[in-house]
Order: sequence, then C-alpha cells, then structure tokens
Amino acid sequence: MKRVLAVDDTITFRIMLAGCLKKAGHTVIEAEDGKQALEKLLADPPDIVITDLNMPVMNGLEFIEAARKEPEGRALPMLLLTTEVADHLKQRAREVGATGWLTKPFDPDQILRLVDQLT
Amino acid sequence: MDEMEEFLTIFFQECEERLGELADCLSQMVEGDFDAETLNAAFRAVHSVKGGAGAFGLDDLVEFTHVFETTMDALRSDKLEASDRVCQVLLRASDMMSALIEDAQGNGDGFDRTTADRIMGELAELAGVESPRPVPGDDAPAQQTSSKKKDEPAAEAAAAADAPLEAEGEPERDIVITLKPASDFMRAGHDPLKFVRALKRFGAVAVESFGDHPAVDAMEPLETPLSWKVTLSSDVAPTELESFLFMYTLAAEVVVDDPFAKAGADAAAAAPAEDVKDDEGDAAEAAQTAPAEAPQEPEAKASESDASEAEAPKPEAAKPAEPAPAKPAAKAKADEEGGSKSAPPKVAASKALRVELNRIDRLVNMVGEIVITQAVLAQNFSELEAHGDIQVTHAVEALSRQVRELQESVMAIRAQPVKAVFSRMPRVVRDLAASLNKDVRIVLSGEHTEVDTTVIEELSEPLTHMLRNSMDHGIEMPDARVEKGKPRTGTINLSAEHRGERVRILITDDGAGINRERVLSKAIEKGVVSPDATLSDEEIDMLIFHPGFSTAAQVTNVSGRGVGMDVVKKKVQALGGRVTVTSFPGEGTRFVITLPLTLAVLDGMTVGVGQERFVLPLGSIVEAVKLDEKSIDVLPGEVPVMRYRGEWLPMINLRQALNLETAQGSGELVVVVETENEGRVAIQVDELLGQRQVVLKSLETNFQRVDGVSGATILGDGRVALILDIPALQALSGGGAGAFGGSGAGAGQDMFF
Repeated sequence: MKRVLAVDDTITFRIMLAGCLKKAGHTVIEAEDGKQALEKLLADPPDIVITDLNMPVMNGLEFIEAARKEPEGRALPMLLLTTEVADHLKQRAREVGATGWLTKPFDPDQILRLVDQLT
Repeated sequence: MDEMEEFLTIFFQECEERLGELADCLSQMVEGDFDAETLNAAFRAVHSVKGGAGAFGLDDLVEFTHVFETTMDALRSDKLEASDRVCQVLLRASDMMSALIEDAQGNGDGFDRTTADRIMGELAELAGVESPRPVPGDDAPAQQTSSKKKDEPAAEAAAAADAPLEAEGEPERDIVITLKPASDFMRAGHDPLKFVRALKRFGAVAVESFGDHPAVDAMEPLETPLSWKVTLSSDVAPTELESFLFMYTLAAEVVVDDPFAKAGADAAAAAPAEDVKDDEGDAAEAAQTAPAEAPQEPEAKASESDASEAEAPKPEAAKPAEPAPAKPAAKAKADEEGGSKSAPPKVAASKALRVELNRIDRLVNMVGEIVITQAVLAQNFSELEAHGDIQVTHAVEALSRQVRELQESVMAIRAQPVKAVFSRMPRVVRDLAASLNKDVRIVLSGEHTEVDTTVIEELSEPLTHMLRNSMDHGIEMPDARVEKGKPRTGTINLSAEHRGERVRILITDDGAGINRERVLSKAIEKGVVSPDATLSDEEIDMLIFHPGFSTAAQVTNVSGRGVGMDVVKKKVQALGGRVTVTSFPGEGTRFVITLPLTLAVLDGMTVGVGQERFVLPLGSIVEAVKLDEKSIDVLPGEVPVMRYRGEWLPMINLRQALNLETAQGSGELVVVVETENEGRVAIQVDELLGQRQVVLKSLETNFQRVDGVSGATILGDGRVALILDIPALQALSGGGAGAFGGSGAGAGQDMFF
C-alpha cells in the first residue's frame, strides 16, 4: 500500500502510530527526530510524512522546511501531529509548507483516511 | 419536578452519541469493512436507543429500532449477506431513526409515517421477518415523500423566504464543491488531481476548472492558478464531506454547496468529526482562509451560507439549527471562538446555568494542561533553587496551590449525584415488570453519591441492561417465588457508595441466582468454552459477560440477545471500571460495578522501568520498599511471591508482565499496592520518579484497549506514560486471579477465548 514516514521522539507514540498504519496494510518507516527523518526521506522517499513537532536535534518544523528544499520533498504531503495548539506555530507550519496540522491524541481512522486521501 | 424532562434531555444526548457511533460504523460498512466489531458496534448503537426509548415510552422509536436491530442482528450473525443495497437501506434507516428521535424531541414537524413504514418494510425484508406495519403498494426507490418530510425545517425556512418549495432527492443530491488553491497549495504537498480523484469515492460526476492559464513558458510547475469546481451526485453525510475537506482548508479556500447540509448539521452533533471540526475552526483562524463575510461561523458553515447567497435561499435552513433565541453573551462568544455545534440547547436557563459539556470539557482539558505546565515549572524551578529568590519561591508555591484549587473547582462543576440516573430506574423496572408479568420493586440507596458527569451519562445504559437482566433472568415468576417460600414481590437493591478514589455500585436481587449448569451448557454449545474445560463457579458466572452469549430461550423485546451484559462489561471497562458478579443459587445475584470518580484527573506515582515511564494510581499505593532477594519465593506454576510484613504477596515484574524491551534496570524497588478486590500486590520497578497529578487520556478512544493499562497521560516533559491497571495486570502476568479470573492465555483480550 502506501509508505508512511512516521517521525516522533517518543517510542510509545511511534508504536501506536505505526501499529495503526501497519494494521491497515501500510509500510511504516520510523525516525526519532527531524534529522534522522530527513536522512530517511532522502534515502528512501515515502508517500506521506507524519511528524511530531517538538523533537530533539531537529524539530518537525525545521524538518519540513528542510525537506521542502529537496526534490524528494517538494510536493510530498507532510502532516504535523502534535500536542501544540499555539496559533503562531500553526502559522509557522503553513509558512514552512506543512500539508496539515493534527492534534494528539490522534484518531486512527482519521489518520488512515488522510493517508488514503493525500497520496 | 422537571426531572423527567431532564432525563429525556440526557437520553436525547445519548441518542445523538449513538447516532454518531452508528454513522461511524455505517460509513465503515459502506467502504466495505464488515468486520464483526463494526457490526456489533452498529447493532449495539441501535439497541441502546431502543432500550432508552422503551424506558420513556417512545413507541414509534421502539418499534422502528426493533426492526432495525433485527436486521443488524441478521447481518452480524451472517444470516444476511452484506451488500451495497443493504448498506443503502441501513443508511436510510439510520436517517429515519434520527428523524424519529428528533420527532420525539419535539423538533421539526414530525416524521413521515409512510416512509418510516416503508423503510421498516425494507429492513424486515432483509432480515427475513414480517414488518409490523406492511405498506400496501410499496414503491421502494421513490423517496419523494420521505425527503419532503425530512427536509421539513428547510422547507419551512424556504417557504418563509418566499422560495419555491422543492423537495430534494434525498439522500442522493448534487453537491458543488469549489476549491480555490492558495499560491502555495502544491508546495504544501497537495495536488488538485489527487483532490479530485479522492472526491470520486463520493461519486464525482463533473469537474471543471476556471481561472487564467498562464503562458506555457511562464508556467510554474508548483503553482496552481486554476480553481476547481467538482459536482458530486452523492448521498454522503455532510459531516463526512466536511472532515474530508478539512485537510484542504489550510492551503485553499473551500466552498461547499450542499442542499442537504442542514440535516447534517443536526445529525452530526455527536459525530466523530467533531474533533476535526474544532481543529478546522482553529485552522481557519490561523490561516485566515475563512470567508470574511461570516467570521463568527465555523468555516464550513460559513461556506454554506456563503454559497447560499449566490444560489438559492434553501441553505438558509442552516440557521434554524442554531441555538435557541436569547443566547447569553458568553455563549455567543464561545460560538465565535470554537464552533461547537452539538447538543441543541432547547431548555431555557432557570436558576442554574446550563452549560454545554463540551465547554466544560475544554475547560477541564485546559486546566489539565496547566497542571502539567505547573509541574514542569516547579520542577525546573527546584533545580534552580540555589539561586532562587524568596519571592519567586513563594509565587511558585502559591501557583501550585491555586492550580490545585482551580482544578478541584472545575471538577466540582462536573460532579453530579448519581440520582440523575438512579431515579430513571424505577420506571424501567415498573414497565418491565408489567411486560414480564412479574412483581418487582426496586429500592434505591446512596443516590446522593456524587460522580463525574461523564460517568453518570455512561452509567445509564449499563444499569438499565443489568436491571433488565436481573428481572428477566433473575427474579422468578410470582407463583414460583411463593412456592420457594419467598415473598411474592421480588426486590432489587440499587445502591452507590464511595470507596476511596472510586465509586461502587451494587445491584442485588433476591431471585434465583445464575443457573450455572445452563450457562455452562449454553457456553459449550456456542463454542465459548471447550466441552472439557473445568471452570470454577466464579468463572462460570462471569461467562454471562461474554459477547454474543445469552441463555434466554427466545428473543424478547426485553433482553436475551446476549447484547446486554456484553455491553455492560465494555461500557464499564471503557470508563476505567470493573464489573463482577456473585451468584448465590436460589437466593439471588449481586453485581458490583466499581468506577473511578472522575475520568479526567488522577493523583499518580510515576515509576520507571528502563527507559519507560508508567503511572500507578497514588491512592492504591501502600508503601515502596527496597527489594530483598531473600524475601522472594516462587510458587508452583512460576508464580513469584514476596514476603511483606508477615504475609505473602503475589509479585509482578513489570518488565516481564508487559514484555518490555527496554534496557535492563536495577529492578531494586518494590511498590506495594492495594487493589479493591484482590488484596495487596507487589510490583517490581527500577525507580520511583515522584508524585504528580496526571491528566488521563483514554487509550481506547484513540488507539485500542490494552490489557493491564487503564489509560495514558502526558508527562511534564511531553512523553507519554501509560497508567497501570493493577488487577488486570495481575491477570496478565498470571500472578493470581484478576477481577475477570486469571486463566486467560497471555495477552489475550478476554479470558474466555
């Protein structure tokens, strides 16, 4: 099915997210921070990215901004999935080229629907 | 003495939730997902509405839902094969159910009986039974009458606006969606082609683009100067469409013209798209894409009325769905900000202020977040203390005190006496007694015990089911009772009491008790247990909570589809509680439900196992001690026990019980906890990380039920920690009989498999 790059520094959360995606038949590539995610994205481009915002080394916004500069990431759907709610961060997300903003805790059905819809 | 009205209001809120669940299931089914869980959930949603409707004497609704339920039952038991047509009928039935509920609420001008009867006929035909109200000269596909009535409020508004009264082809209708991408639409990872392609699932019939084509040499591959107009001919629920379109609202202006959107706005009240809607409101705010003409409306709604100005007056109908006339300023404000469309506030404010639960929930959530932030602040500050300023120290301490007070006050808003559900029960018992020809009285006690509103709401359904069960299966016929030397009139005691951090609800009847022989043979017949299994009496009693299990000889209007006790168990578990049954043959049965007082906040102790963090409910902790190898012994069957102050306690090693792959830790600490039913248990961990208040997030609603875990929380540093459920954990590790018996195999969801 689809290849999803799931980025989050919390292992529990990655397990939950990956579990829900794999159950639906998707392939999940995991990364622990933005830097690792960028490397994986370039090495092996996914169909869609779901990333946390607050992460060590390189955060979600920086990651998306960097990915958009690469040919592999130019038109890739990239969703932020975060507990943040601040408007300035959402504004920033839009500026760096995020496809959408989802709030944790996530709704598995919604995630699956979006993966389906955006790829 | 407007109690009855109040309960009705609660029931209707419940109905909306059930409708939402049903809609959810149906949309899964439409997409071809017919797994047992979905079908069961859909069945239960209908069944619950029927149950409540019965309690309030809403006969039309009872009749309709009974047929509906029969069809769903046929579907889940494979007597009826799933197909598109079946889905269509079910969708129509769900709409009709919604119309009937509205009618019962006194909203709208009633429903169309002919349509209801026709749908009932279709349902009955699918289920292979007789419809209670056969329609002569049935002409299935013609839906003119139905739509006319369903659109009643719309039609009214239209008439008021002096427009031609035209019935829309419902549920199939034309929806026009206009997408005007912002210049960075594609740079945000969107693609108009994918947009159109994805819309096809709803049945796109026409796509047109408009706008200026740039000259070929000036074309930017990632710019989209074009706008798109897609016309759907579809029966999609407005909410579904809305949640589909939500993703595009950040990077494009999306306008929907849906003639049927009004009905959606009502039915959607409890739909799962709610979160999405909230997000949408925020997103719209942040991105400033909401059309300026109607800034106080949530985006999608704004789009509708927006489109309506250009189109026809019909979508004006969205207006009557708005909250009642004299709305207080605060309410208008909240509408402006959040866009919560649920729970039609039909009851005028009197002495007390009625506030939508939504809003309190938001408050509770925010307070929860503040608690977390406060914890982080306090922690960071304590590390700086050496350089600390005495005034700042005082301020931080004051803050922590005030936050706690704030939290208590907020929780107090949500507390309600259980009376709200308890006093509905005599009616249930009375009606049921009459229809079963039994003589039963109910004795209530502890009605003033206060519990969180959410718990109260969720309690009514399991309680009703349990009462029914007791009356149908427990209490004997009057003559039989006299023969056994019991009073003619059976008695059911319903009581509530606080037990530490939890509330305990007891339902005791003086009936025949559980017929274990019959339960066991039925269970074997149904393949629930293997014929050669040896079960203890308690285990046999617990079988009645197994999904699909029923000993009733025939399906009655009352109970006996085996849905009841299964629902009870699921419901109670979802609330973080437990249900147990104790039967005394010949003397009666006692059900005990224990529930947490609140679903939102918990005083917890954070413990560490390797890299992982878990939370133990603070109230259950007796003591933490250093592990002494000499005090440990192993019982036959690899059950480790620990000597603790002269008694032997079953011991759980978290790393093993949860199969953690985290780095090996010291495992040098043992936390002794007290459980409600199983006495004390020793839990082996690596470290204690301190007490804190944690904000509970349900795993079940966001992920799935996990054995041994009652929920999750977000810690001060943003990490997720799971909250442990000790009795369930004990069952999992095989360290003793958990509340549901401990013989289950490993990580199985249920001991009975």
